Amino acid sequence: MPDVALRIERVTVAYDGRPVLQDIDGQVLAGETVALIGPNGAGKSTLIKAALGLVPVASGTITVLGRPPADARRDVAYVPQADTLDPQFPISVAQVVLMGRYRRVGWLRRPGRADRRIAADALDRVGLADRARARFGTLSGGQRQRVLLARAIAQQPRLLLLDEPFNGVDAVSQDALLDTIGGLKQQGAAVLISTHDLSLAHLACDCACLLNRRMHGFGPVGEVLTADLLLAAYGAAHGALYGAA
Amino acid sequence: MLRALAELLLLAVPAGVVSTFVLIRRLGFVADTVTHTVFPGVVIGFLAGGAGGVFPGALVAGALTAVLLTLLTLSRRVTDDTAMAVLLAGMFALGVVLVSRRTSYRADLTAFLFGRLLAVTAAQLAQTAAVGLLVLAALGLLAKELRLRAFDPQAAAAMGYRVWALDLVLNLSIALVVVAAAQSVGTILVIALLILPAATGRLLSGRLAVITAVGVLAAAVAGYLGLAVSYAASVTYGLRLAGGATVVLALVALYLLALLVRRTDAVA
Repeated sequence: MPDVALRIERVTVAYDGRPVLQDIDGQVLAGETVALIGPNGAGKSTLIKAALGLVPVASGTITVLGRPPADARRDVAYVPQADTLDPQFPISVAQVVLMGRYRRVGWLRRPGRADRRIAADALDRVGLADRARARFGTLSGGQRQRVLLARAIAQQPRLLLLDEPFNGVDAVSQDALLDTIGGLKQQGAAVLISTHDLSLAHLACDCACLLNRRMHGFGPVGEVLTADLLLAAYGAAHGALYGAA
Repeated sequence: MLRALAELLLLAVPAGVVSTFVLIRRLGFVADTVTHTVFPGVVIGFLAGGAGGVFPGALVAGALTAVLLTLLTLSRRVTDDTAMAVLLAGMFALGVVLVSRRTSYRADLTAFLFGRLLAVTAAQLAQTAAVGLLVLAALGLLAKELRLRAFDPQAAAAMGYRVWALDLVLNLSIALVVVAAAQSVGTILVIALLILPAATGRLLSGRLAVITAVGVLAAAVAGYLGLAVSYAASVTYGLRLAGGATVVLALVALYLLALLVRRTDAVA
């Protein structure tokens, strides 16, 4: 039985007393990829933030690698949406990936040769080794997303949390992302991906957690992303969504 | 004259470095707020202890502002720009009210707002050097963490960094540069030193190290040019130009020059 990397038990999260997530259960095993599926505003990002210990849970417990989330951050990598970052920022692709080493390098010290090699390898894994010296903002949206995944790989995490990594990503970058995530999974990393793209969930993930403020299903992708459950989670708009998948 | 030049060169290094972080964090308004909130500290310091009270007064006001700004940005109830505008206007008005009670207030007000560059003392030089070293040490030692926080605050928090603590360090550094410059360049014109050096560097490069280097150089060159113009005007033409203002004008001129020769790919 593989280790449980992320365990979520009857978790409720509230902002200003109003619950935004209610009674969520689920888990991500080592070597497994889980899709977090739900419409906009369903609380997907909030659940990821809770797993990082950045949002307090009102009730229930979240365990990351057997520890409280805040104590496990060294072994967890978070990949934000690339388009939340300033494209004008003066920083090279290589420097962005190297940021993944900062926690292990520690305070007051500079990344060494070994750190640079790990970062270069990570960039190679997402297929962008030749863009190392380019400024981050000059890359396409999909390429920027791959650079952020490379940064997460450089952290050498046991759990990866990806927030909508396929949004606005071209086909080439989408394939590169899927390939890289597949490789991480084979190496035993646990991966949680939030997305509203059902076809990608089918393609990339073993299990799905269907969410819209409360949980509508958790289990193997084929059993959870069914017409009935999607109708319950998305309401009337689900037909169009599922048709697109 | 030499003291004034030394003061400007001592200011150029921390100003160039701090302005890089002001640029990448887009903290122009924060910097402007600090320049205004240090003003009442300068006035109170002067009223309480004469010229010797100005530095400690500015220091207290600057540190207090840095803490307040950090707390304000933590709170989700108040929007940042409103809070800062209230702080900026309120503290500045307080300074004006305090200084207006003095009979010689026009002369004093001018000195506090625009500095007295040619009256810089050896003690002020020592203060500027000490403050500059402190700022450089703090920003140098935390450079990689501050850069990460500026680029991707969500990832910084996810990695376990205390973002508010990094913000406090930067806000204090901004305040310290304002404090160091208050008596020579003045609390109002120092905003130029906090923004224009790195803004000039950014026009010429997309690399942080180059931006910082250009920023320091621009601040130093502007210090020399501004002082030289002010001196030449007074000696040759009998015109008395405010030294701090000519330095800022030189800085603006360098910025405009960079705008003309900029490499388009640096900014694109």
